[in-house]
Formats: sequence, C-alpha cells, structure tokens
Amino acid sequence: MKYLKLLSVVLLSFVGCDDDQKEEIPVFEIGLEQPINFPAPTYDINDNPIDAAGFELGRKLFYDVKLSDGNTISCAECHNQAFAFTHHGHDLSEGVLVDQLGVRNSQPIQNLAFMNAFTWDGSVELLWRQPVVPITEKVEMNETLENVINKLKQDANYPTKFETAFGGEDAVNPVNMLKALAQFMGAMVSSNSKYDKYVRGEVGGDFSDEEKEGMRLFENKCASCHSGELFTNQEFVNNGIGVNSKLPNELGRARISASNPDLTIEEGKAHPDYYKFKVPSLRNVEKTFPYMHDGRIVLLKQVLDFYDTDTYPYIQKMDNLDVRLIQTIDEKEVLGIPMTEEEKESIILFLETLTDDEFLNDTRFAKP
Amino acid sequence: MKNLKNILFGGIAFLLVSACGSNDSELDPNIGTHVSAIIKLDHSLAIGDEFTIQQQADGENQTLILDKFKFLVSDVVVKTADNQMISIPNNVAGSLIDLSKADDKEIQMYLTGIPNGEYKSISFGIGVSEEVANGSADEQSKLFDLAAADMNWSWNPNSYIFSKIEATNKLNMMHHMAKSETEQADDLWIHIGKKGDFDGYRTVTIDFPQNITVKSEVSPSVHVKVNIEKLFTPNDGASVYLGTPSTVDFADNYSNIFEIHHVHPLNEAINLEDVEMDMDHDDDSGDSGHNH
Repeated sequence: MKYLKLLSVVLLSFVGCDDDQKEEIPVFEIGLEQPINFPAPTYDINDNPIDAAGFELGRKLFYDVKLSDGNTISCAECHNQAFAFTHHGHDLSEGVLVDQLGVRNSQPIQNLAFMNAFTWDGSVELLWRQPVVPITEKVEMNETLENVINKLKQDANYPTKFETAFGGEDAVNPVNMLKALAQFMGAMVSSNSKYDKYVRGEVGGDFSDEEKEGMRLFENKCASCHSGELFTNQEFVNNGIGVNSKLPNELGRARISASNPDLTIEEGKAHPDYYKFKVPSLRNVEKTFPYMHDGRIVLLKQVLDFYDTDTYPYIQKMDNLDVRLIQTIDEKEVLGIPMTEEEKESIILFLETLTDDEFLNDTRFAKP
Repeated sequence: MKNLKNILFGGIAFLLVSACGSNDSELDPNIGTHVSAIIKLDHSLAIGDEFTIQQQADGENQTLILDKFKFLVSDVVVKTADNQMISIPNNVAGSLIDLSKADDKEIQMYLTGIPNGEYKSISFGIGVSEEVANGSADEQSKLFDLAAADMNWSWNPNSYIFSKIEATNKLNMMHHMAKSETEQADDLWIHIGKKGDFDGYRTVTIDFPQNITVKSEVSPSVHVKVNIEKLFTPNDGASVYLGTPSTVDFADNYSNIFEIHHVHPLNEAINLEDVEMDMDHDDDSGDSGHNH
C-alpha cells in the first residue's frame, strides 16, 4: 500500500437548479502527500489547501485549451504525463504562434511542492504564480489573464466549479484560477520509483549489484549538485554547457538577479549569474529527454559524456563555471567529472531506478 | 506496513452545493458601501502634456511628452487623532492609479471600510512590498488583478511593477517626422519594482492640515497635488537626470511628489456603487461646485 488512503476526502454533491437530478461525483482522494524520505514542503498549505474541488478544477484548467490565445493548446501540450509532464522529444517548443519557438526546454511537473523556485532561472518563487509565465509569454500560450478569465466566466461549467472550490462572489478571478492550478500541480508527487522503494525498504525495491554500484558512483560523482531525495540542491550553477549560438539573448539567472529590468546582453554577460540555471531534479530523468536548459543533449549517455568532456559539446569554461566541475589532477586542470565507460553504464542503470511508473500512470493526474 | 507519513490537511469535508441562483440577495438600491473618505489626486500633468528636464547635470533642457504615468497603491494605513494606526486590507484599498484614466488630471481614490472617528494622516505604499507579494495569494487578489495587464513582470519573483513613467523626447518626434537617420535622443522609460538586490517599494505619508471625521453623514475629501516633475527635481539632494541609471533616486523621489493641498471635511456622503456606476458610464457630472 503506497498511500495512507485518507488524505482529504471530499464528497461533492451537486444539486441542479432546473431539475432534481443529483450528479454524484465519485469520492476523490487528494492532498499534499509527504513521502517519508522527502524534505518538508515549500508549498504553503495554509494559504492554499489542496482539496478535491480545487484539484479537480486545476486539472480541468491544465488540460483546457481556453488558457491559450485562439484556444489552441493547453498546458498538457508541452507537459505530457507519459514523459513526466515534459514535451516528448522536443528541445524547444512551439507555442500558439507558428514558427515562434520558446527559448527553454519544457521542464517536468513533479514534486514542485518541495521546490524553492520555478523555471530554469528561478524567475518565480511561488507555485501559484508560475502558470502566469506560460499563459502570457508570446512564444508559449500568448494569452492575457483577463481574456482567460472572460472565457472561463462564459463557460457553462467553470463558474460553478470555481464557486465550489473557493466560494465567495466573483470566484472566477485570476488568483483563484492560479490557486486551482497550484493545487493540481502541488499534489503531483513522484515518490514511488524503484529507488524510493529501495531506500524505504519496500517490496519492489531490490537493487541489483550493478544498480548499487551505480548509486555509489552517483553519490560520488553527481550528488554534490543532484543531492538529496529531490536529486537537486536547488542551486543555480553554470555547468559549462556554453552559449547556444541560436539563442544569443539567453542570460540565464542573470536576468533575474540583476536589478536592471532592461538588462542588455553585454551587461548580462558581465553579471556573476550569467548562464547559470537551476540544477534540475533527476527524478524520471529517463523519460524527460532531451536534456539541458535548451534541450541540447538528446541521450542520457551523452549527458554523462558531456560531463566527462569526452565528446562534443565540451564543457566551456566561463568565469563562473561551477568550481565542482574544475579539478586538479596531476597538477593539471581538468574540467568536468572523469568517468569510465563502465561507470557511466552503472550510473545510467541507477538513474533508471528513478523512473516512477506509478506517477507516470496515475489516473488522478491524467486528462479526465 | 505504513511506509509514508501523510499530512492530513483539512480532514474530511462534506459539501452540499446548491447551484440555484438565489433570490434573496438582490441589492437594495438604497443600501450601498459608504465611502469613508476620498483622496483626490490632482496631477501636475495630463497624458500628452510637455515637460522639461535636464539631459545631463550640466546639459540642456530636454522637452518630453508624457505617455504613461501609473503606480500601484498598497498597504493603506490611516492614523487616528490619538495616533492609532488602522490598516485597510489590500483587497479593499489596493489601487492602480493610472493617469490615462483621469478626468482631466484628477483621479479619485475612494476609501471604504475606515472605522468612524477622527483621522490626522494617511500613508500608503507605492508598489507592493516583499511581504505582501510573497504572502497570502488571497490577500493580494485585488492587487494581482489590477497589475495583471500592464504592471506585471510575470518572470520576476516579485511580479509587480510598482510604477511606470514613460515619455517621448520631443526631438525624436521631430526626427520621426523628418525620417532623420540621426542619432536618437533619449526617451524616458522608468519602470520600478523589486528586482535583484534593488527594492523600489516606498511608503508615502500625507498629513492632513486639519483632522477629518469619518462618519456616515459625510465622505470627507482630501485634495493632494501630484507634482510629476518632482520625480526628477527633489526638494533635497541631487537632481536625477535623463540617462541617470539610479533607480534608487527615482524610487526615493516618489515621496516628494505628493503634496497635501486642502481638505473638504464635510463633503456630502456618497456610496461606492454610485461612483463606480458613474465611472462605468463615463459620466462626467463633475465636482459638486467647489471653488478653490
């Protein structure tokens, strides 16, 4: 048994106006799950408690094209459950506008209730405010909050669902919409991979000798950044990936930490946070390819080759390259993390134990 | 085996929702929300007006045409005659002052929910503090809504843009007309927020020249001059010039632009619903005959 089967059970019963038909919505179990091997959540459960009505509304919104300009795509377009809510196979993603590509690789939606900051550069620090970015960005959904709210108000079902979830007059408003999305995303916890079962001593958690060796190597070579049960220390680092010549305006974290909102490229390059990105979680990493902030590397093996400075792309030494990627071996400076081919194979075997099929197939998170 | 520790938030709820429209909540047109007090902001410029500031410390005056002037108001606090501070929730008093929505140069802030009593001053924030922006979602619902369209950096941890002033350099307008290729003069474009290490949130306090009394019989009106040019020529300290990269000075200067003019302590009582209806209908019935 994975969950203690009572998180918050809300039984909804709607009474229609024009007839006496009662629509019984099935009992729905949802809440903020706290896996015993996870850190404390960052999600403010007092400000936005997760219940069935809010979660279900958030899920409906997540899968609804009304959130985009011209009602063309939903959040799920680039956040597909089968691939840990990433955009399968895409390095970058086209939004609603033809030929307009986004500038960053779609990130998985999992365990966000435990994260300090969102997006590759940490531009948002509150989960409820995160959806504003994709909804309003021109290269993503290119819509305004005002338009979305107007569409939802005119819908036959949304007003009742908002009132049920949040109560009060004018329940269909931007903050409530964002709170519903945050409830849906906050409840999306991936914590039942083979690895989790191994560390919790559960059935299905038997590691092979090779997987154990992979874990040992991972802890040695990768876990200073991909640390803890979230497999990220949540820091922003320059990992040496180097400038993508197709995206010359990319500044990384410098865009956020600079005090000038109209930072020029030159000013951004001089900033200590230039080309720093958030260390991504490696949960379900087998499914979230391609990798890096711009999806530049397709295969997991190639990512390890990159850190081993084996093949192109090589680690680029900018002034702020993370010191954990600079080693001195025999009085020579060596960039990256030396690994043998056998070691890489073992590490990949371990990384595959982070795949959580229960999460990837959880019908609660699927399109209803 | 119990292998997960679960947090039980909220427990078991049983909701019975009636979707029927209720007939018992219809508003009595005679009952409305009493306006406790009015802050009338009388701006020194209208959108489209010209003003001059110095290009450099020793430079020539440059003429600019005002395109945009707007700021968010949060954390309104009124001070009673016996020095009690009373905070008005942001979902009530949070406002977006936008000069493009002014009646001529005047914008009225209608304050509701102030307890009856004598008051000697009002203070408010220009922008949204870190505490509010990172605090409860519900408590910033109105501010978030007001900011959504044009006062929002969605990609910034504090997503609010606190204030905007934009103006076109008249030289550029002439160049545009002549289709000149010559180097453009600086246009003015200052957006202030909390960005990186810089926090442009500032609090302004306006002392009333005489106490005002909040009671149901009246809606006292406080007239405040907003001297937009003083953003660049503060009373104290160095002037700020076009091209000066110091957002700190601009943020600080917001405390200089507000100047109390006079109060109408016995202004006739009004209801918020009535003035909102007037605003919706763009009704310029005007002031009820004050001569200043």
